Amino acid sequence: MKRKRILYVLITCLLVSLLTAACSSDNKKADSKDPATGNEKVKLVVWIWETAKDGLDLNMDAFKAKYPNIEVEFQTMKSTDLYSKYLITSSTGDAVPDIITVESTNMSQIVQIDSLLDITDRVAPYKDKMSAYKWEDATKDDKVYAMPWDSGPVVMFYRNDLFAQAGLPTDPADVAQEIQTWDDYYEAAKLIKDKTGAMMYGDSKTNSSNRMFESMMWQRGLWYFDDEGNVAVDSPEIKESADFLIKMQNEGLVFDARANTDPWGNAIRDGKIATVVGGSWHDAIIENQYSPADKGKWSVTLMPKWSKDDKYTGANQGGANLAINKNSKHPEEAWQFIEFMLGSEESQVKMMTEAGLFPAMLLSDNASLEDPSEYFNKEPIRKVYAESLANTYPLAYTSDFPMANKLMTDVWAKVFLNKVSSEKALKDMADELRSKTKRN
Amino acid sequence: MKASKLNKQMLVAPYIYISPYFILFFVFSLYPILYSIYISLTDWNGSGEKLFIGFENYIQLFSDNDFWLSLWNSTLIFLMYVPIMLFVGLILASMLNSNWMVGKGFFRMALFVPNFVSVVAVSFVFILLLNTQDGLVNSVLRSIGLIDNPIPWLESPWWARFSVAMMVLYRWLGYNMLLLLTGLQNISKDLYEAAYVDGATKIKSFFFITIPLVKKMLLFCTVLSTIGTFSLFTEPFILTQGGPLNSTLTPVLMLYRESFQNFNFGYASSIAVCFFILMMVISLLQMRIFDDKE
Amino acid sequence: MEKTLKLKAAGTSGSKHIWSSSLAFVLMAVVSLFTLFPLFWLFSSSLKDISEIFVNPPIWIPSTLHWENFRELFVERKFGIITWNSFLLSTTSTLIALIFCSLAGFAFAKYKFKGKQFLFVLVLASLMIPHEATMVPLFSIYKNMHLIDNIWGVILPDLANAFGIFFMRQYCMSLPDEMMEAARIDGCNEFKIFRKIVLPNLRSGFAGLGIILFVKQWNNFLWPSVILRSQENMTLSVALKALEDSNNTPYHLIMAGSVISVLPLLIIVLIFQKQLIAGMIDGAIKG
Repeated sequence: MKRKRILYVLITCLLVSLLTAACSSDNKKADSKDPATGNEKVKLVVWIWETAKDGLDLNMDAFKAKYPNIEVEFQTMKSTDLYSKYLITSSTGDAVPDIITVESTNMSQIVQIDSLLDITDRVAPYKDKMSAYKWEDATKDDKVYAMPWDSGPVVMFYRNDLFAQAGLPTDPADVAQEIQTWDDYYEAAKLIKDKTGAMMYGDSKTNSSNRMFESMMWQRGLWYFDDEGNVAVDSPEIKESADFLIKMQNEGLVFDARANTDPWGNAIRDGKIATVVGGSWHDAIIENQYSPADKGKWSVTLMPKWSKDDKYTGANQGGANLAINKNSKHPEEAWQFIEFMLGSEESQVKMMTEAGLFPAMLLSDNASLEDPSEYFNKEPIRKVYAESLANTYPLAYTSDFPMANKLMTDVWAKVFLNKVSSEKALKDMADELRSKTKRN
Repeated sequence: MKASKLNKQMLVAPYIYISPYFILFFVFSLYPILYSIYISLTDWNGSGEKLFIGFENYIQLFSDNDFWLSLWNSTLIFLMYVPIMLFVGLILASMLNSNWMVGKGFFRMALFVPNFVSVVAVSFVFILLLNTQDGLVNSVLRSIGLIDNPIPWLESPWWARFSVAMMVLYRWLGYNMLLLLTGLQNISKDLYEAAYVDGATKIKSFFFITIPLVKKMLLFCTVLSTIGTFSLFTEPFILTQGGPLNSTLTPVLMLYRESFQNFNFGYASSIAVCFFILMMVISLLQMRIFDDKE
Repeated sequence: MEKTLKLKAAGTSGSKHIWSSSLAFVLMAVVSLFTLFPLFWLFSSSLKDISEIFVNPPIWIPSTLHWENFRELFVERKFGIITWNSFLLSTTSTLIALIFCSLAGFAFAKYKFKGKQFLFVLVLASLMIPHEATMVPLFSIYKNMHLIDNIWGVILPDLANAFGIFFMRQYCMSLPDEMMEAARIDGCNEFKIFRKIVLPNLRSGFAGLGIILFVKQWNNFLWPSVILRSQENMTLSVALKALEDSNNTPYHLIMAGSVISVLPLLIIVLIFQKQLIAGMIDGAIKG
């Protein structure tokens, strides 16, 4: 008896679900065949991650007022998932999403697969208004495929209370003077560990994001590949930088957690980490996410450099771009959206001051850079970012960056877990990179 | 007239009844696996031209350390959990099989629950529990003074393999226990009675009666676990992404990486073909072993 | 089919016995604690704020219950439609597979036809093709069939279920031939025999196989995560993974989402536990 009833329930479910499945697929077909005529509502699907979406949200009201016929749907996901999903999209020729957000780190890789809309003519008016280095990764064969959004000029965030306890200066200018080079940074790290027990920075031994290491390479104009595109990770300069970080780890001056994960953020909250050498976008992360209670304890200054005579002091970390799917049904509206968000100084400044996205756009009105930040000791932190950006080596991530970054993570793991020498680990990486990317 | 019509129906009906299965099987299984063999002989990124390159993918695969490592990892993970699982499973099963155990229904369900709960959900719970700095397991171990430094559950090769193995154990202990329980229920109670009368302790009867009589079932569980371990995907994919240093990379994870992340469809297919052959060998072995049972 | 656990009492007692049986009870309780604890942690974490997830000392039960985690999932992350997708996918796929499997199982059990032996061996052999090995070609086939980002793309390959045919064949074999003969003499056509005589007698088989297939499909992850891409079409497993973010993964939402994924199944399984366990054991041993 009971079983019979269950059977009927199951069969009813089947009928209902088949019906709805049939209906829903019909709906979808009707949707996609909608012609995008001027007066009708157009829906744009934007793939993006959460922190970037927070920036765009600030300008959504203004956008809706100006373009009432464009409806925007954000679909948030992890950036790495976003890229691999987009690779699948491109291979199937789907029209969704219309717009994707791409970090500069992966920009070149995505451009190579020829699935983005060529927007060379559209971005022409902005060519000189953006930081020059951003265009390189977005360009293939002189065609431009993405509009730069923000930069991540690397600076040093530091805990001035921990610095004071260790007997170090706390004023940004004095700190920049005291910690000019990475060697100075190392000395300061020992002092801080001694006096306060705090670690200098956070980075994982076995699962590093390599962000610190890459910033150190970048400021010296070094990269996984040299100017001719040959693999360069086995060069003596790169080994020098790597050895410096290995020394920091081996002497127990580093908190062992991958940067920008929860354990790392908790260590920041608990005052276990004294500095964050990272992109300017860390200000929002420190202020809003991990350490909202520590107002006034954090300050910002320029990052240390390798040697005192180095010309460049800054580096770039991340920063995003917006690009249009080649198969989008609404390229015109998609561009209107991008231009509204990234092409206007007003919306860029808003995202900078309220969401910590330092624009790739070179601002004509610098007043907003002078604004003091309440949280960061009433210092004009964005002036530091601008200074860093002005002193950044013009370098591109290149298309094989994601692979190189992944292999680099393994280099650290080999050094710390398997006790392989840095020289051998880097040499092995270079060989693997050469064979996988068919470079020299 | 009528009789012959019925006869005709009887001849045609079975073919109609099995046709849905065979149509689906050809389209979604047989054709793809043959196609897979073809793709494995080409260099293909999934959308462009397929470039025929003969056995080059296989030559590359057999000299690829990661491939051998993925097989080695699966073997290690297998060794880490299967013996414990079978041993503990058998002990638990004999308890549930005894007449004096209370709360059998509850315990049976409690042990079985992890098996049908979403793997993705369980993996995320394990991420929370096993986090090195702030995970519950380390903080409990530290507060009771068992360890001074946090254990890198997911961040060193051996611990990561161990963690994956423990999660597999967590999910499959109950299932295997139920299988063993069925095996035990076929053993006559008289045997134990006789042994008891002869003065054998419970432990003795466990080793000398229970284990030999469920040998076949133990073997069966081992074969199932072999297939399961080599096809592991979700657990390492979410817990460790195959890391650190590819120490939790499994064949299926490698296949996924090469195909849907790196878009080397040709190379991925050569992994798929090898995986298929491996699974076939294990299945044939399983059929051989249990042939006489049918 | 179901085995009862009740057995004749062996009739041994004494203090030694009580001691060892309470030891056994304790051992059992400890193991159960280990299997149930992660679920407790899952439910508890789903009601925490993100700031309470990774803390030392741990928070066992949050002092304020953050039900808004669930609200956020349903209102902002489309979990309403995602849960519906999971339900739709699992039921549709289970029910169609049940029909196909019982038809084929019946044919193999009760008919004599040319090539039967060979075809049945083929069914058995198809068990050896792991789905994972067919993903790459299936993906490119799907591109042409427009099955990518479509739940039918998940359902279709799982309908060809050799295990299910084997399972249903066992049940069909136990049906008496006389019943069918009598029906034929009465002039029933073959399909009517299947519908009126076979189907009603396969109910316990349906319940066992149905619950197994449902659970499997509900938790299916790899293939759906390859082909389902837009939020409107995702299933729960895929959507959970998609909640991860590069900089700060919202684990509180992932836990709440996991509860949404785990709870319905828990209830269904508690209702059908006999069928599920019996079915799984039969399936494993006979298959």
